[in-house]
Amino acid sequence: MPTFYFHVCNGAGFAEDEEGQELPDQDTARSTAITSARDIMAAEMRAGQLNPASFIEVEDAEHRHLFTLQFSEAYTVNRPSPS
Amino acid sequence: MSEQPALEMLAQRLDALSPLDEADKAAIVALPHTLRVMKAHEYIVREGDKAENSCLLRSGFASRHKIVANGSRQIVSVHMMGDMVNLQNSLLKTADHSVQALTDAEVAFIPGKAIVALAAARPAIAIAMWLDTLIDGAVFREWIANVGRRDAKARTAHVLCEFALRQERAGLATRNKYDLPMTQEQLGDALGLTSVHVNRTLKALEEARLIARDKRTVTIADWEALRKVGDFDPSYLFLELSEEIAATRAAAELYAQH
Repeated sequence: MPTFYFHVCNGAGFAEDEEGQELPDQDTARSTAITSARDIMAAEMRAGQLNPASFIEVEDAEHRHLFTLQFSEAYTVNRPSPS
Repeated sequence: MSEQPALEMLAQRLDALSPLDEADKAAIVALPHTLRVMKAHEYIVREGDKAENSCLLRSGFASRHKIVANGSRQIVSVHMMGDMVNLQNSLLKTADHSVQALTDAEVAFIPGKAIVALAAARPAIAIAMWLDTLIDGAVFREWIANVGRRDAKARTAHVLCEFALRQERAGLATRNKYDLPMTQEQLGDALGLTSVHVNRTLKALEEARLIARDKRTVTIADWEALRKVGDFDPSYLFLELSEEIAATRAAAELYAQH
């Protein structure tokens, strides 16, 4: 399986991924980035400090940039319908 | 020179839990067993399987885990040289969780029936094995509290402290520097975090100068600070048990003489 690297940039600064994860394909890399963003945001929310401007840079095994996942892409906000 | 018998390590561990006499130790070393060299990721026991053996980890690292319906894995403990990874299977004949090698490992498979017969014949060994499974339970309780109630930083710091003391006890390393043979993903499965979150948390511990990492080597730069961040109190590991028991027995003997 190919290796993907997930570098996180958020309120705590930049965390370079030196190890990477072996995943079947880029779609799985995207869903992994989404799950990771949700995991980090959930912890931030519990601490009362959300950094929604954070993002994850995803690279392939040769460190070529594949895509950037903004944390804001990892969730939807349901607003109450106006009554 | 002959090599140390394969089960000498088990005799030493049980002796440290509850003092054994020479005949007890000889009986442990004489237990029937099969040695197997296992590759990283190989299963030692699979959840749902009939479990005929209890296994001693002679080298390498292993984890116990459960996989839930959505496919997520929760590692419930990590094991290293000298640990029995499923002593409970000498009596519980179906595996309720899996044990998997984290690294290449040498494992002694000991028939459960032989262990039960030995425990029935030699009460000091039965007590030591009982203690071993009780301490397994104490570690599981600590890990439930860890993943249930501590934040990511504290959780991570806590297991780093635990691994340090257990590797020191196993004679693999010192508490200040050891090899952590786990990927971020495996650590994540032990901590209930994603791999990416683990990486960020380890980086935060490094930036706070509590630890330093070089590939898989962890150096604990400030033990006291890491212990505080991880809310780590090692009493649940019962590392001093053998000394306590020896002291209690000495006191009892002294009392009996008077």
